[in-house]
Amino acid sequence: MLPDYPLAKKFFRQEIEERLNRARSAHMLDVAEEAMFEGQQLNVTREDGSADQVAFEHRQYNIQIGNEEYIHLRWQELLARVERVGEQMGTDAARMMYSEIDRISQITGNRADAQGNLTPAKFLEFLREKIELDFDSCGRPRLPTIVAGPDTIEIIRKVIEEIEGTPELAREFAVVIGDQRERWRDRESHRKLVD
Amino acid sequence: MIERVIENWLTEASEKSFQLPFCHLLAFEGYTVLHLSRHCTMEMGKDVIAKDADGLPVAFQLKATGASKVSSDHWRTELMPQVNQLVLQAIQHPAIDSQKRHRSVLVVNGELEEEASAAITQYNQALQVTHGDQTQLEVILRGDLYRRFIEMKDVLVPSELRQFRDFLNLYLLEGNGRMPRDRFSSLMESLLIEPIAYSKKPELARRVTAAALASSLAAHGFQTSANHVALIEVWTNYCAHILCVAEKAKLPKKHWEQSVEIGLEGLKSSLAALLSEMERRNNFVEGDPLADVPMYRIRLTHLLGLISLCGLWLPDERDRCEDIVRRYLSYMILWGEYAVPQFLAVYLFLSKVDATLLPADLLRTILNTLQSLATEPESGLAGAEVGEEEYIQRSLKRSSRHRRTFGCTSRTIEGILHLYTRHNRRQSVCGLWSGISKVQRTDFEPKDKQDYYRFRVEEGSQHDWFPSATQSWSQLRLDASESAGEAIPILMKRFPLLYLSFLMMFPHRFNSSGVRWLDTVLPTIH
Repeated sequence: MLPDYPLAKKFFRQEIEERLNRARSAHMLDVAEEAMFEGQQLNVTREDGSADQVAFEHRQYNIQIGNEEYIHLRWQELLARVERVGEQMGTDAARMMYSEIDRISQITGNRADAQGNLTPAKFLEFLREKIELDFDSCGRPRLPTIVAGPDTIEIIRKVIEEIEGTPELAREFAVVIGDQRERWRDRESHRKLVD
Repeated sequence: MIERVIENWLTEASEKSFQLPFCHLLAFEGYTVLHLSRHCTMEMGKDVIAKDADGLPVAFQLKATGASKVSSDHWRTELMPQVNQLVLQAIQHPAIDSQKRHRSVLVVNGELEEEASAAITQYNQALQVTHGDQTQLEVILRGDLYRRFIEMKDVLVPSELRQFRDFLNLYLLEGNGRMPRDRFSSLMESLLIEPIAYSKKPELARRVTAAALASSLAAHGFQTSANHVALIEVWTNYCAHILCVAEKAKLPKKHWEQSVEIGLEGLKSSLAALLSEMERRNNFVEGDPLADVPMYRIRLTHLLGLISLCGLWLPDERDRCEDIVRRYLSYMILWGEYAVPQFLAVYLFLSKVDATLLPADLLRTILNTLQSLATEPESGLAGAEVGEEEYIQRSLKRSSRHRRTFGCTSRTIEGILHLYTRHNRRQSVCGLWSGISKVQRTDFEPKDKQDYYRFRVEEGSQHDWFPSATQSWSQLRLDASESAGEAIPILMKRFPLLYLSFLMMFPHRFNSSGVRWLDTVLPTIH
């Protein structure tokens, strides 16, 4: 056996794990994650009473360092490899998440299709009919995060700019937010104890 | 190597540290252990009172001399007066007829010098003259103790090298930290749970005794450091795993019951010692005083939970415990779900000693804090799996983007809500309901209920759910009144206070069914 350096390596290991997790989480959009420490099954019951069993998927990722590389590989280069793997993990996890959202929205029917032509009117209709907004205690909307490819994001950005720049559309947007606020208040008013 | 470990442990052991494994050994050899003295203060010269296999009462006095030999001076000036009490004074115990002759045994974890040995022989000769043949002092020395412990060797030593190394690492722990639950549990699993598949009942019974010795060996560092909190957890862990193997293997009572009782005595002894320590100290700083600042109230919260358990378990100490709990109650901190069982213990204790609204108000505070943290977008609620050190590390490392550090589900809120509902504080629950209804619940059910005792279980299912936004108060009251404790294994229900200690050690086993049962059962106990 050759000598090891456990104290120093503990510090390095922590750095590696932090970088990996940070790179992975960057793709998860601050979605809350909970670790499951035991068991092999997860059952979920949603607020509306519907139930589901979550299927687990095994994922494995490798960080490889060739024997010859040890002589020349620098610490920052290694961290870059770690971050790439973390990004891959994050991308895969995000893809699984979107796939699950897609599956559930198929079942619930909570989908919107602009059929390749997103207009301000359709956007406002989707916001009114398909999305449920929450508000903070001051009545400010907690607007959702839009996740889309670069081309779609550009289209959506232009639609939003048009809404903000057109007085009539801006008024309609305010009405939609107001409706959402009332629906939120209605939902919150149901959080109560009754006889 | 295990021989050296046992020899080293036996040589260094104090009376207190070898008292429990010695009692387990007696139980295994067919004795019925009736009484252990606590704090190792001798009661009329008798540290352990038992009945041998023939029903004859036996009194033991334990002496730790370690590496040094007992000299004749030591025998004459210190030991003989105590031995006189052991031999000549009758055993006072409800299970023993004080008129009946008893055997007297001096147990020394060292050796005797020749002169001391001769002095004891003369002492026995004198006893024979004055009191007859029946009254003699028996002596057990280190060699005999060692031989009897070493007979456990083949079940004591983990079969794989990695496990043996883990066992040794436990033995060599400094003793100033928390008991490593995962490693201790792993040791108990390898000794008790894994062999169920291939061992017969008598062999498992032998393993129960070996596990007691293994626990004592592995707790060596904690014993030396007088780390009572860790020792409480060691004996809780031990008792829980004994109950596990008893249920899984359907062991007859004679194979496990006495071992659990002895383990509980160790637990109670450590609780009493912790109480004394807290009374003695004028602060609860430990280790590096500067770095202790973030940990101080977290430690204090844990201590108050254990002192509350002490007050519930030892009626004679109740006033002392109440004094400490009241003095420091306002400094408790609900830093995460891990601390909820500690708060639960304080609530259950205050319910016993305080007739005001204070216990109910404590529940309200817990509920309010849980729902606030769980719905707080900046930080979240640290789950029952997150221990103190991980909590502090993660909290301090939170990124500048203030991403949520912990999750938004709760394992404990439902149980606490049910306890609070039992106080019929409808208006108060109403005020909290908006926040409470937003907290996702989570619960884990092992596939085999007997696995509930274990630290980690491979097979089981987790269930996550939201409560209804609109909740019927009468339905909530009905749910809260349920107290069958279906989620708890059968044998654990015989030991409610062990269950409370178990929850403080394994907060991830907290569930509303168990908590409702505990709240129902405890008022019926002394």
